[in-house]
Amino acid sequence: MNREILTVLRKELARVFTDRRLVISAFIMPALTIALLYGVMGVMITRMVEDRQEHQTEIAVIDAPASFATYIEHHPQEDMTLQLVDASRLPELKGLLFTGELDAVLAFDKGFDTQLINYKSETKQPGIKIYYNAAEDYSVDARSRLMNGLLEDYEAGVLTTRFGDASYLTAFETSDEVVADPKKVAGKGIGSFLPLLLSIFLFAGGMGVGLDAIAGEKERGTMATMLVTPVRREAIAFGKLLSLGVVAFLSSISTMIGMVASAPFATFLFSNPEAESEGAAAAAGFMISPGYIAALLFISIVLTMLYVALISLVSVYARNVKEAGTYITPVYMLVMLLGVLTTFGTGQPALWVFGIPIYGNVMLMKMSLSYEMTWQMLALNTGVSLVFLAILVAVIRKMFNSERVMFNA
Amino acid sequence: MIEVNGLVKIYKLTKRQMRQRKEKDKVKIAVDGITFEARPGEIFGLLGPNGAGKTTTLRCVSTLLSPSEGDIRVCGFDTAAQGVEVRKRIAFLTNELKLDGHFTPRYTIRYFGSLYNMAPEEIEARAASLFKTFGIEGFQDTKIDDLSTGMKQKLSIAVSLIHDPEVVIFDEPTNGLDIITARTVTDYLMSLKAEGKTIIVSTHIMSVAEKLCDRFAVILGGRIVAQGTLEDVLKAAGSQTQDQVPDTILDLEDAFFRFYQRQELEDQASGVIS
Ligand SMILES: Nc1ncnc2c1ncn2[C@@H]1O[C@H](COP(=O)(O)OP(=O)(O)O)[C@@H](O)[C@H]1O
Ligand SMILES: [Mg+2]
Repeated sequence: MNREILTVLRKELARVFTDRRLVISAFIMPALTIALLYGVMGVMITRMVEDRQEHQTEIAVIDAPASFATYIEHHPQEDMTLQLVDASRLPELKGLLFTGELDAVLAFDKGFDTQLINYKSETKQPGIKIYYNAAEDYSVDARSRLMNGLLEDYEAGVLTTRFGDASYLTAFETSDEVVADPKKVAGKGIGSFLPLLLSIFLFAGGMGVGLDAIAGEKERGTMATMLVTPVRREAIAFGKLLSLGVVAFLSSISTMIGMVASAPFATFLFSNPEAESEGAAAAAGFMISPGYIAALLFISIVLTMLYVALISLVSVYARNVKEAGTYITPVYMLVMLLGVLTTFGTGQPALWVFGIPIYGNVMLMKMSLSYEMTWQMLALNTGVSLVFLAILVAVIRKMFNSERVMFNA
Repeated sequence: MIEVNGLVKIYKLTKRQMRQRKEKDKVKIAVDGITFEARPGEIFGLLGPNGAGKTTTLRCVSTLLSPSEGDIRVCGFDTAAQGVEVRKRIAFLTNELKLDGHFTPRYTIRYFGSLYNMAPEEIEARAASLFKTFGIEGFQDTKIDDLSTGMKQKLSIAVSLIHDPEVVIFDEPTNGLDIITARTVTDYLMSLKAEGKTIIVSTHIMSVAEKLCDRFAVILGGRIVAQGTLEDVLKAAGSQTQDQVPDTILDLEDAFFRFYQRQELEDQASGVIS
């Protein structure tokens, strides 16, 4: 029996690896596509961010008080051009804001300086209004440059004149320091998207070859040729399942390599806002300890076998590749949905979650990546996966022995 | 040796099949209680028009389908209970079984040889002689997809005979073959017979059957209507006509039409619309 499985497995692998079309579609295309996609995305996003940073903000200033005019004269702004404009032109300026030709309008209250000097606690504070266009990136940036830069500094200047020292106005200073296991933080960064992608790559890799290897062989009549040999049907089924597992696994690894190759261009994917520096550092070498890799490998292999069994089940049942394609689509969507669901939710998930096939497996991978996996999670998920796998394999076996399924009889 | 004993095969039809075939019944009785025996050193022919139940019978003999009723023994092994033992000893050939066009003849025959648990040297020797017989030597390393139709068919036959089986089951052996290939095949069947193999073929072409087979079973609507040597079958056809003189029955084809007409008359009498 083992020898038979091995013979079938060898032939199935030879079938895939000597077929240029299959090799390209299962191993080369996914890696290239993902590398290209992430690379291009990374370059575009980086360029966009740089472009926004370098943009010279165009601001029109209305009713600028003398104090402000003096202030900007003494403190020239490098990243913005300020133009003093007459108040009557406001409607026209709004039009320019709307079309994006102007980034912001800074409007001072009339008699700003007088109000500023005569200010008593009960009188109305002088006001400044910023007109900006929330639909334009440059305009949004202009607003924040004004609020967090120029106007803040200008205010500090005014306060210094008023009180002699602006630091009277702050009661205390705050600063922060990150205290976290950098591995965990980095893991959270990768952990949030990697399991989902890996899950999808695994399924896609198995699907690309699986439908053809089973439904295709049934359709073309090459399967029946094997069924008249003394080889047990189980051996054929297991040989095919194992070969599909190998193919799906290698295919997903090749896709991962493509992703890693694109990493230098796609830092946005690997970093996480909470851990900019740590995340980026760990992304370069995110496979850390042997135990870490072993856990990830084990979880991926279990998931691969689940997917391959699902794909095989559908392909055996279908009468031809087209039908198999139709049946597999909802399964694929379900797999994607369950994967996406794992990216939601905060905090430590409850233990029972790991008892849900597929969802639990992807979740477990996430936990393992962020060093939060416990033995209970692993044991429960592995147990449930094996039971689920055993059921799938039993059904596949039954189908391989059914004349209705194998010969449409 | 093949012993078929009261074989009945009933297909359950799906809703779609019922619609496609415009059948009202949920089941289709494809083979309705047939009994025959094919012996070593002879070629046994199953004759009948399309839909008579020949393929179904041969699939049951090859263990691909299990009988609904009755039993089949091949070399003394029961097809239902000892499928593996039966499959070790048979070659089943039909147009519906295909080889993967991606591989070469050499790879394919080695693969099938190993499925029969043959030793590598044994496979090489046997493959060389089969390839020689069927004229495939020059194409051993050509992808099967790139072979001509005739070459593909010859290769299918060679591959299915790799394990030198005692029993050869051939569904419509010359169907779709060009005359030269067909001749190669029938000649080879004759040589297998000379080696003492048990051979069973099905066909709807009477001239082929008459030349090739030693004994026949004529099947109509899943039942055997006549069985025996050519002489037996011709006699049986004659005895069923009113005029006892079988002048008009010169060959198998005439005999076959007699059976066919008689069946139609019977069906009309019993109100069955076919
Ligand atoms: N898989 C099947 N499901 C249902 N009916 C079938 C199936 N295969 C064959 N039949 C029916 O059984 C009868 C016998 O078919 P078959 O054995 O193929 O005849 P033959 O080979 O003599 O042409 C036909 O009426 C055919 O339509
Ligand atoms: Mg037929």
